[in-house]
Amino acid sequence: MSQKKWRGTILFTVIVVVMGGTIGLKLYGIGEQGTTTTAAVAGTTSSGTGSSGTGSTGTSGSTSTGAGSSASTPSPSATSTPSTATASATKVITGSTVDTRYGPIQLQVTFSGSTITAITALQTPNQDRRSVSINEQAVPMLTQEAMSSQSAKIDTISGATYTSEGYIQSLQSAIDQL
Amino acid sequence: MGIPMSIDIRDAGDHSDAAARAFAVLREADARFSVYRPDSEVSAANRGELAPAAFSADLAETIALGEEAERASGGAFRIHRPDGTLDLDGVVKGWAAARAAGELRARGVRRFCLNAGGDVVVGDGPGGDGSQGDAEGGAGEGVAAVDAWNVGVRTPADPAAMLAVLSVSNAAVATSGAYERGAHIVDGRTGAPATALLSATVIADDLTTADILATAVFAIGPAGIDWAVLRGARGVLALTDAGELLGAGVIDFAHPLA
Repeated sequence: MSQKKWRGTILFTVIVVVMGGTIGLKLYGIGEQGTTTTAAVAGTTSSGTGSSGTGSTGTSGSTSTGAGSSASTPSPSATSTPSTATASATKVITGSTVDTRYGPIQLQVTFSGSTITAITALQTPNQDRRSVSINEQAVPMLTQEAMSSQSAKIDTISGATYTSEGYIQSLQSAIDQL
Repeated sequence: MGIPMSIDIRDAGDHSDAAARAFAVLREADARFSVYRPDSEVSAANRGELAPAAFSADLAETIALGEEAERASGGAFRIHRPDGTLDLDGVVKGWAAARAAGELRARGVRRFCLNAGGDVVVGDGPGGDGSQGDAEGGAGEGVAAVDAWNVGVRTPADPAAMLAVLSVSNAAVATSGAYERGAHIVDGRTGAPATALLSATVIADDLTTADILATAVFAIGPAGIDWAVLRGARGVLALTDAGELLGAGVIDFAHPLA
Protein backbone atom coordinates (compact mmCIF):
# COMPACT_ATOMS: atom_id res chain seq x y z
CA MET A 1 0.00 0.00 0.00
CA SER A 2 2.57 2.53 1.09
CA GLN A 3 4.68 1.61 -1.92
CA LYS A 4 1.76 2.35 -4.18
CA LYS A 5 1.33 5.75 -2.63
CA TRP A 6 4.98 6.40 -3.13
CA ARG A 7 4.71 5.61 -6.82
CA GLY A 8 1.73 7.86 -7.04
CA THR A 9 3.63 10.68 -5.56
CA ILE A 10 6.56 10.25 -7.89
CA LEU A 11 4.21 10.05 -10.80
CA PHE A 12 2.50 13.22 -9.85
CA THR A 13 5.73 14.97 -9.29
CA VAL A 14 6.53 14.21 -12.89
CA ILE A 15 3.15 15.44 -13.99
CA VAL A 16 3.51 18.57 -12.01
CA VAL A 17 6.85 19.29 -13.63
CA VAL A 18 5.30 18.85 -17.04
CA MET A 19 2.34 20.93 -16.08
CA GLY A 20 4.62 23.55 -14.69
CA GLY A 21 6.49 23.65 -17.94
CA THR A 22 3.35 23.96 -19.99
CA ILE A 23 1.77 26.50 -17.76
CA GLY A 24 5.00 28.37 -17.60
CA LEU A 25 4.69 29.04 -21.29
CA LYS A 26 1.09 30.05 -20.92
CA LEU A 27 1.82 32.40 -18.07
CA TYR A 28 2.82 35.02 -20.56
CA GLY A 29 -0.74 35.21 -21.75
CA ILE A 30 -2.86 34.33 -18.76
CA GLY A 31 -1.55 35.50 -15.45
CA GLU A 32 -4.41 34.25 -13.27
CA GLN A 33 -4.23 30.58 -14.29
CA GLY A 34 -0.71 30.39 -12.97
CA THR A 35 -2.06 30.72 -9.48
CA THR A 36 -4.65 27.98 -9.96
CA THR A 37 -2.04 25.46 -10.97
CA THR A 38 0.16 26.23 -8.05
CA ALA A 39 -2.74 25.32 -5.83
CA ALA A 40 -3.23 22.07 -7.74
CA VAL A 41 0.39 21.19 -7.16
CA ALA A 42 -0.08 21.30 -3.45
CA GLY A 43 -3.21 19.12 -3.70
CA THR A 44 -1.64 16.37 -5.75
CA THR A 45 1.43 15.88 -3.65
CA SER A 46 -0.59 15.25 -0.54
CA SER A 47 -3.44 13.05 -1.77
CA GLY A 48 -1.67 10.87 -4.34
CA THR A 49 -3.63 9.10 -7.04
CA GLY A 50 -6.98 10.48 -6.08
CA SER A 51 -6.03 13.89 -7.26
CA SER A 52 -5.63 12.94 -10.87
CA GLY A 53 -8.66 15.08 -11.44
CA THR A 54 -6.47 18.07 -10.89
CA GLY A 55 -4.80 17.33 -14.14
CA SER A 56 -7.88 18.55 -15.88
CA THR A 57 -7.66 21.93 -14.29
CA GLY A 58 -6.51 24.43 -16.79
CA THR A 59 -5.71 23.82 -20.41
CA SER A 60 -2.74 21.59 -19.72
CA GLY A 61 -4.92 18.66 -18.65
CA SER A 62 -4.29 16.64 -21.77
CA THR A 63 -0.58 17.21 -21.61
CA SER A 64 -0.36 15.95 -18.08
CA THR A 65 -2.32 12.77 -18.76
CA GLY A 66 0.00 11.95 -21.60
CA ALA A 67 3.03 12.39 -19.44
CA GLY A 68 1.45 10.38 -16.66
CA SER A 69 0.70 7.32 -18.75
CA SER A 70 4.12 7.21 -20.29
CA ALA A 71 5.72 7.47 -16.91
CA SER A 72 3.64 4.83 -15.11
CA THR A 73 3.57 1.94 -17.57
CA PRO A 74 5.95 1.82 -20.52
CA SER A 75 3.00 3.08 -22.53
CA PRO A 76 1.57 -0.20 -23.82
CA SER A 77 -1.46 1.61 -25.16
CA ALA A 78 0.61 4.26 -26.83
CA THR A 79 2.87 1.83 -28.71
CA SER A 80 0.49 -1.02 -29.35
CA THR A 81 -2.23 1.01 -30.96
CA PRO A 82 -0.08 2.45 -33.75
CA SER A 83 1.61 -0.90 -34.38
CA THR A 84 -1.68 -2.72 -34.82
CA ALA A 85 -2.72 0.06 -37.09
CA THR A 86 0.38 -0.32 -39.25
CA ALA A 87 0.06 -4.12 -39.29
CA SER A 88 -3.16 -3.90 -41.22
CA ALA A 89 -1.98 -0.91 -43.20
CA THR A 90 0.85 -0.54 -45.68
CA LYS A 91 4.30 -1.24 -44.32
CA VAL A 92 7.56 -0.91 -46.23
CA ILE A 93 10.46 -3.03 -45.09
CA THR A 94 13.97 -2.88 -46.44
CA GLY A 95 15.76 -6.17 -46.27
CA SER A 96 19.39 -6.49 -45.39
CA THR A 97 21.80 -6.92 -48.26
CA VAL A 98 22.24 -10.59 -49.02
CA ASP A 99 25.45 -11.63 -50.69
CA THR A 100 24.74 -14.30 -53.23
CA ARG A 101 27.17 -15.94 -55.55
CA TYR A 102 25.83 -13.55 -58.16
CA GLY A 103 26.56 -10.52 -56.01
CA PRO A 104 24.70 -8.55 -53.38
CA ILE A 105 20.91 -8.40 -53.57
CA GLN A 106 18.82 -6.10 -51.45
CA LEU A 107 15.07 -5.99 -51.60
CA GLN A 108 12.47 -3.60 -50.34
CA VAL A 109 9.14 -5.25 -49.64
CA THR A 110 5.83 -3.51 -49.19
CA PHE A 111 3.22 -5.30 -47.11
CA SER A 112 -0.44 -4.54 -46.89
CA GLY A 113 -1.23 -6.43 -43.76
CA SER A 114 0.48 -9.75 -44.37
CA THR A 115 0.10 -9.50 -48.13
CA ILE A 116 3.05 -8.45 -50.23
CA THR A 117 2.01 -5.67 -52.57
CA ALA A 118 5.38 -4.70 -53.98
CA ILE A 119 8.98 -5.84 -54.03
CA THR A 120 11.64 -3.49 -55.22
CA ALA A 121 15.24 -4.39 -55.82
CA LEU A 122 17.40 -1.71 -54.26
CA GLN A 123 20.65 -3.43 -55.05
CA THR A 124 21.24 -5.93 -57.82
CA PRO A 125 24.35 -7.66 -58.98
CA ASN A 126 25.51 -6.62 -62.42
CA GLN A 127 29.17 -7.48 -62.83
CA ASP A 128 29.72 -10.52 -65.05
CA ARG A 129 27.44 -12.07 -67.66
CA ARG A 130 25.91 -14.53 -65.23
CA SER A 131 25.11 -11.73 -62.86
CA VAL A 132 23.53 -9.72 -65.63
CA SER A 133 21.25 -12.55 -66.57
CA ILE A 134 20.21 -12.91 -62.93
CA ASN A 135 19.76 -9.18 -62.76
CA GLU A 136 17.56 -9.14 -65.82
CA GLN A 137 15.56 -12.23 -65.08
CA ALA A 138 15.46 -13.17 -61.43
CA VAL A 139 15.24 -9.79 -59.79
CA PRO A 140 12.48 -8.45 -62.01
CA MET A 141 10.69 -11.70 -61.31
CA LEU A 142 11.04 -11.08 -57.60
CA THR A 143 9.89 -7.54 -58.08
CA GLN A 144 6.94 -8.05 -60.34
CA GLU A 145 5.84 -11.60 -59.88
CA ALA A 146 5.97 -12.11 -56.11
CA MET A 147 3.30 -9.51 -55.67
CA SER A 148 1.00 -10.97 -58.24
CA SER A 149 1.95 -14.60 -57.59
CA GLN A 150 -0.16 -14.69 -54.45
CA SER A 151 -3.27 -14.72 -56.56
CA ALA A 152 -1.99 -17.46 -58.88
CA LYS A 153 -3.70 -20.81 -58.94
CA ILE A 154 -2.07 -23.23 -56.54
CA ASP A 155 -1.26 -26.85 -57.33
CA THR A 156 0.30 -27.71 -54.00
CA ILE A 157 1.57 -26.07 -50.84
CA SER A 158 5.03 -26.05 -49.32
CA GLY A 159 5.15 -25.69 -45.56
CA ALA A 160 5.07 -28.36 -42.91
CA THR A 161 1.79 -29.99 -42.07
CA TYR A 162 2.89 -32.48 -39.46
CA THR A 163 -0.25 -32.86 -37.44
CA SER A 164 -3.48 -34.27 -38.73
CA GLU A 165 -5.33 -31.21 -37.41
CA GLY A 166 -2.91 -29.02 -39.31
CA TYR A 167 -3.52 -31.00 -42.45
CA ILE A 168 -7.29 -30.95 -42.12
CA GLN A 169 -7.22 -27.19 -41.78
CA SER A 170 -4.74 -26.80 -44.57
CA LEU A 171 -5.38 -25.60 -48.04
CA GLN A 172 -3.51 -28.68 -49.24
CA SER A 173 -6.30 -30.89 -47.99
CA ALA A 174 -8.76 -28.72 -49.89
CA ILE A 175 -6.64 -29.11 -53.02
CA ASP A 176 -6.49 -32.86 -52.51
CA GLN A 177 -10.26 -32.98 -52.47
CA LEU A 178 -10.53 -31.28 -55.87
CA MET B 1 3.03 -39.55 -36.39
CA GLY B 2 1.71 -39.93 -39.93
CA ILE B 3 2.71 -37.47 -42.60
CA PRO B 4 -0.04 -36.61 -45.07
CA MET B 5 1.20 -37.30 -48.59
CA SER B 6 -0.49 -36.33 -51.84
CA ILE B 7 0.53 -37.38 -55.33
CA ASP B 8 -0.84 -35.67 -58.42
CA ILE B 9 -0.02 -37.47 -61.68
CA ARG B 10 -0.89 -35.88 -65.03
CA ASP B 11 0.62 -38.45 -67.40
CA ALA B 12 -1.87 -40.32 -69.52
CA GLY B 13 -2.69 -43.85 -68.43
CA ASP B 14 -3.11 -45.62 -65.13
CA HIS B 15 -0.26 -45.02 -62.71
CA SER B 16 -1.88 -46.24 -59.54
CA ASP B 17 0.79 -48.94 -59.07
CA ALA B 18 3.54 -46.31 -59.15
CA ALA B 19 1.60 -44.15 -56.70
CA ALA B 20 1.01 -47.13 -54.39
CA ARG B 21 4.73 -47.88 -54.43
CA ALA B 22 5.54 -44.24 -53.58
CA PHE B 23 3.13 -44.33 -50.65
CA ALA B 24 4.70 -47.57 -49.47
CA VAL B 25 8.15 -45.96 -49.44
CA LEU B 26 6.91 -43.29 -47.08
CA ARG B 27 5.22 -45.81 -44.80
CA GLU B 28 8.41 -47.89 -44.68
CA ALA B 29 10.44 -44.81 -43.79
CA ASP B 30 8.01 -43.95 -41.02
CA ALA B 31 8.25 -47.48 -39.65
CA ARG B 32 12.03 -47.36 -39.70
CA PHE B 33 12.74 -43.83 -38.52
CA SER B 34 9.91 -42.65 -36.32
CA VAL B 35 10.99 -41.81 -32.77
CA TYR B 36 7.33 -42.07 -31.84
CA ARG B 37 7.20 -45.77 -32.67
CA PRO B 38 8.88 -47.99 -30.08
CA ASP B 39 9.37 -50.70 -32.72
CA SER B 40 11.27 -48.45 -35.14
CA GLU B 41 14.93 -48.97 -35.86
CA VAL B 42 15.74 -45.48 -34.60
CA SER B 43 13.95 -46.18 -31.32
CA ALA B 44 15.94 -49.41 -30.96
CA ALA B 45 19.15 -47.52 -31.68
CA ASN B 46 18.24 -44.86 -29.14
CA ARG B 47 17.61 -47.53 -26.49
CA GLY B 48 21.10 -48.84 -27.19
CA GLU B 49 19.78 -52.15 -28.48
CA LEU B 50 21.40 -51.70 -31.85
CA ALA B 51 25.09 -51.14 -32.43
CA PRO B 52 26.04 -48.65 -35.19
CA ALA B 53 27.62 -51.52 -37.11
CA ALA B 54 24.21 -53.21 -37.25
CA PHE B 55 22.41 -50.16 -38.62
CA SER B 56 20.51 -50.67 -41.86
CA ALA B 57 21.89 -49.06 -45.01
CA ASP B 58 19.02 -46.54 -44.92
CA LEU B 59 19.72 -45.52 -41.36
CA ALA B 60 23.45 -45.25 -42.02
CA GLU B 61 22.74 -43.15 -45.12
CA THR B 62 20.45 -40.69 -43.35
CA ILE B 63 22.83 -40.39 -40.39
CA ALA B 64 25.66 -39.64 -42.83
CA LEU B 65 23.51 -36.97 -44.53
CA GLY B 66 22.65 -35.45 -41.17
CA GLU B 67 26.25 -35.44 -39.96
CA GLU B 68 27.38 -33.79 -43.17
CA ALA B 69 24.77 -31.06 -42.61
CA GLU B 70 25.91 -30.71 -38.99
CA ARG B 71 29.45 -30.07 -40.16
CA ALA B 72 28.44 -27.76 -43.00
CA SER B 73 26.16 -25.64 -40.80
CA GLY B 74 28.72 -25.22 -38.06
CA GLY B 75 26.55 -27.22 -35.69
CA ALA B 76 23.36 -25.19 -36.13
CA PHE B 77 21.71 -28.20 -37.75
CA ARG B 78 21.73 -31.23 -35.45
CA ILE B 79 20.58 -34.83 -35.66
CA HIS B 80 21.67 -35.64 -32.13
CA ARG B 81 19.72 -34.47 -29.14
CA PRO B 82 21.51 -33.11 -26.07
CA ASP B 83 21.17 -36.56 -24.45
CA GLY B 84 22.97 -38.12 -27.42
CA THR B 85 19.96 -39.85 -28.95
CA LEU B 86 19.14 -39.56 -32.63
CA ASP B 87 16.47 -37.28 -34.03
CA LEU B 88 16.46 -37.58 -37.79
CA ASP B 89 13.34 -35.46 -38.35
CA GLY B 90 15.33 -32.84 -40.21
CA VAL B 91 16.59 -35.42 -42.68
CA VAL B 92 14.13 -38.25 -43.04
CA LYS B 93 10.99 -36.56 -44.33
CA GLY B 94 12.74 -35.01 -47.32
CA TRP B 95 14.89 -38.07 -47.90
CA ALA B 96 11.89 -40.41 -47.87
CA ALA B 97 9.76 -38.17 -50.07
CA ALA B 98 12.66 -37.83 -52.51
CA ARG B 99 12.87 -41.61 -52.63
CA ALA B 100 9.11 -41.85 -53.17
CA ALA B 101 9.48 -39.46 -56.10
CA GLY B 102 12.29 -41.70 -57.39
CA GLU B 103 9.85 -44.60 -57.36
CA LEU B 104 7.48 -42.61 -59.54
CA ARG B 105 10.24 -41.69 -61.99
CA ALA B 106 11.52 -45.27 -62.09
CA ARG B 107 8.05 -46.34 -63.22
CA GLY B 108 7.96 -43.84 -66.06
CA VAL B 109 5.91 -41.15 -64.38
CA ARG B 110 6.99 -37.77 -65.73
CA ARG B 111 4.32 -35.21 -64.93
CA PHE B 112 3.85 -35.43 -61.21
CA CYS B 113 3.62 -33.38 -58.07
CA LEU B 114 4.30 -35.09 -54.77
CA ASN B 115 3.67 -33.43 -51.43
CA ALA B 116 4.76 -35.10 -48.21
CA GLY B 117 3.89 -33.05 -45.17
CA GLY B 118 4.60 -29.79 -46.94
CA ASP B 119 7.75 -31.02 -48.68
CA VAL B 120 7.26 -30.94 -52.43
CA VAL B 121 8.87 -32.75 -55.36
CA VAL B 122 7.71 -31.99 -58.89
CA GLY B 123 8.61 -33.56 -62.20
CA ASP B 124 7.71 -32.14 -65.58
CA GLY B 125 4.93 -29.58 -65.54
CA PRO B 126 1.29 -30.64 -65.46
CA GLY B 127 0.91 -29.93 -69.17
CA GLY B 128 -2.65 -29.17 -70.06
CA ASP B 129 -4.04 -27.30 -73.04
CA GLY B 130 -2.59 -29.96 -75.27
CA SER B 131 1.03 -28.87 -74.91
CA GLN B 132 3.18 -31.97 -74.92
CA GLY B 133 6.62 -30.36 -75.08
CA ASP B 134 9.19 -30.44 -72.34
CA ALA B 135 9.05 -27.82 -69.63
CA GLU B 136 12.10 -25.98 -70.87
CA GLY B 137 10.94 -25.74 -74.46
CA GLY B 138 8.81 -22.62 -74.32
CA ALA B 139 6.93 -24.09 -77.27
CA GLY B 140 6.07 -20.79 -78.89
CA GLU B 141 3.32 -19.84 -76.46
CA GLY B 142 5.44 -17.20 -74.78
CA VAL B 143 6.81 -16.88 -71.29
CA ALA B 144 3.40 -17.03 -69.62
CA ALA B 145 2.85 -20.54 -70.93
CA VAL B 146 5.72 -22.10 -68.94
CA ASP B 147 4.68 -25.61 -68.09
CA ALA B 148 5.36 -25.79 -64.38
CA TRP B 149 3.66 -26.53 -61.12
CA ASN B 150 2.50 -23.69 -58.93
CA VAL B 151 3.77 -24.31 -55.43
CA GLY B 152 2.33 -22.01 -52.80
CA VAL B 153 4.47 -21.13 -49.81
CA ARG B 154 2.18 -20.76 -46.84
CA THR B 155 2.56 -17.84 -44.46
CA PRO B 156 3.65 -18.67 -40.93
CA ALA B 157 0.52 -17.04 -39.52
CA ASP B 158 -2.11 -18.64 -41.72
CA PRO B 159 -1.83 -22.00 -43.48
CA ALA B 160 -4.32 -20.86 -46.09
CA ALA B 161 -2.55 -17.61 -46.91
CA MET B 162 0.37 -17.63 -49.32
CA LEU B 163 3.61 -15.76 -48.84
CA ALA B 164 4.23 -16.32 -52.52
CA VAL B 165 3.45 -18.87 -55.21
CA LEU B 166 6.46 -20.41 -56.91
CA SER B 167 6.58 -21.82 -60.42
CA VAL B 168 8.70 -24.98 -60.48
CA SER B 169 9.36 -28.07 -62.56
CA ASN B 170 11.84 -30.89 -62.01
CA ALA B 171 12.72 -29.48 -58.63
CA ALA B 172 12.01 -29.79 -54.95
CA VAL B 173 10.67 -27.22 -52.50
CA ALA B 174 10.90 -27.49 -48.73
CA THR B 175 9.76 -24.98 -46.15
CA SER B 176 10.78 -24.95 -42.53
CA GLY B 177 8.86 -22.91 -40.02
CA ALA B 178 7.94 -22.87 -36.37
CA TYR B 179 4.28 -22.33 -37.08
CA GLU B 180 2.67 -25.69 -36.54
CA ARG B 181 4.59 -27.72 -34.02
CA GLY B 182 5.84 -24.69 -32.12
CA ALA B 183 9.51 -23.87 -31.83
CA HIS B 184 10.76 -27.35 -32.60
CA ILE B 185 13.92 -26.46 -34.47
CA VAL B 186 16.82 -25.75 -32.19
CA ASP B 187 19.96 -23.86 -33.12
CA GLY B 188 22.49 -26.53 -32.22
CA ARG B 189 25.13 -23.89 -31.55
CA THR B 190 23.15 -22.39 -28.67
CA GLY B 191 20.68 -25.12 -27.75
CA ALA B 192 17.92 -22.53 -27.87
CA PRO B 193 14.96 -22.61 -30.25
CA ALA B 194 15.72 -20.82 -33.50
CA THR B 195 13.65 -17.64 -33.63
CA ALA B 196 15.34 -15.29 -36.09
CA LEU B 197 13.29 -16.57 -39.03
CA LEU B 198 9.59 -17.26 -39.18
CA SER B 199 9.99 -19.48 -42.20
CA ALA B 200 12.64 -20.58 -44.66
CA THR B 201 11.89 -22.02 -48.09
CA VAL B 202 14.52 -23.72 -50.20
CA ILE B 203 14.21 -24.69 -53.87
CA ALA B 204 16.75 -27.31 -54.91
CA ASP B 205 17.28 -30.06 -57.46
CA ASP B 206 16.29 -32.79 -55.00
CA LEU B 207 14.19 -32.86 -51.87
CA THR B 208 16.85 -34.39 -49.62
CA THR B 209 18.95 -31.28 -50.22
CA ALA B 210 16.01 -28.84 -50.06
CA ASP B 211 14.69 -30.28 -46.79
CA ILE B 212 18.03 -30.32 -44.98
CA LEU B 213 18.90 -26.84 -46.21
CA ALA B 214 15.50 -25.42 -45.22
CA THR B 215 15.89 -26.77 -41.70
CA ALA B 216 19.50 -25.54 -41.55
CA VAL B 217 18.62 -22.05 -42.82
CA PHE B 218 15.89 -21.87 -40.21
CA ALA B 219 18.35 -22.90 -37.49
CA ILE B 220 21.15 -20.59 -38.67
CA GLY B 221 19.00 -17.52 -39.28
CA PRO B 222 19.41 -14.86 -42.00
CA ALA B 223 23.10 -15.68 -42.45
CA GLY B 224 22.03 -19.14 -43.60
CA ILE B 225 20.31 -17.80 -46.71
CA ASP B 226 23.48 -17.10 -48.65
CA TRP B 227 25.07 -20.19 -47.12
CA ALA B 228 22.31 -22.37 -48.56
CA VAL B 229 22.80 -20.98 -52.07
CA LEU B 230 26.45 -21.95 -51.83
CA ARG B 231 25.47 -25.41 -50.56
CA GLY B 232 23.26 -26.29 -53.50
CA ALA B 233 20.02 -24.37 -53.14
CA ARG B 234 18.68 -22.93 -56.40
CA GLY B 235 16.80 -20.29 -54.48
CA VAL B 236 15.98 -19.34 -50.90
CA LEU B 237 13.05 -17.29 -49.67
CA ALA B 238 12.89 -16.46 -45.97
CA LEU B 239 10.73 -14.35 -43.70
CA THR B 240 12.44 -12.84 -40.66
CA ASP B 241 10.78 -12.34 -37.29
CA ALA B 242 10.70 -8.64 -38.15
CA GLY B 243 8.58 -9.40 -41.20
CA GLU B 244 11.39 -8.89 -43.67
CA LEU B 245 11.29 -11.05 -46.77
CA LEU B 246 14.76 -12.07 -47.83
CA GLY B 247 15.70 -13.86 -51.01
CA ALA B 248 18.76 -15.29 -52.67
CA GLY B 249 19.53 -17.30 -55.78
CA VAL B 250 16.88 -17.72 -58.44
CA ILE B 251 13.22 -17.76 -57.52
CA ASP B 252 10.55 -18.08 -60.19
CA PHE B 253 7.18 -16.80 -59.12
CA ALA B 254 3.95 -18.02 -60.62
CA HIS B 255 1.89 -15.88 -62.94
CA PRO B 256 -1.62 -15.12 -61.74
CA LEU B 257 -3.18 -16.62 -64.83
CA ALA B 258 -0.64 -19.39 -65.42
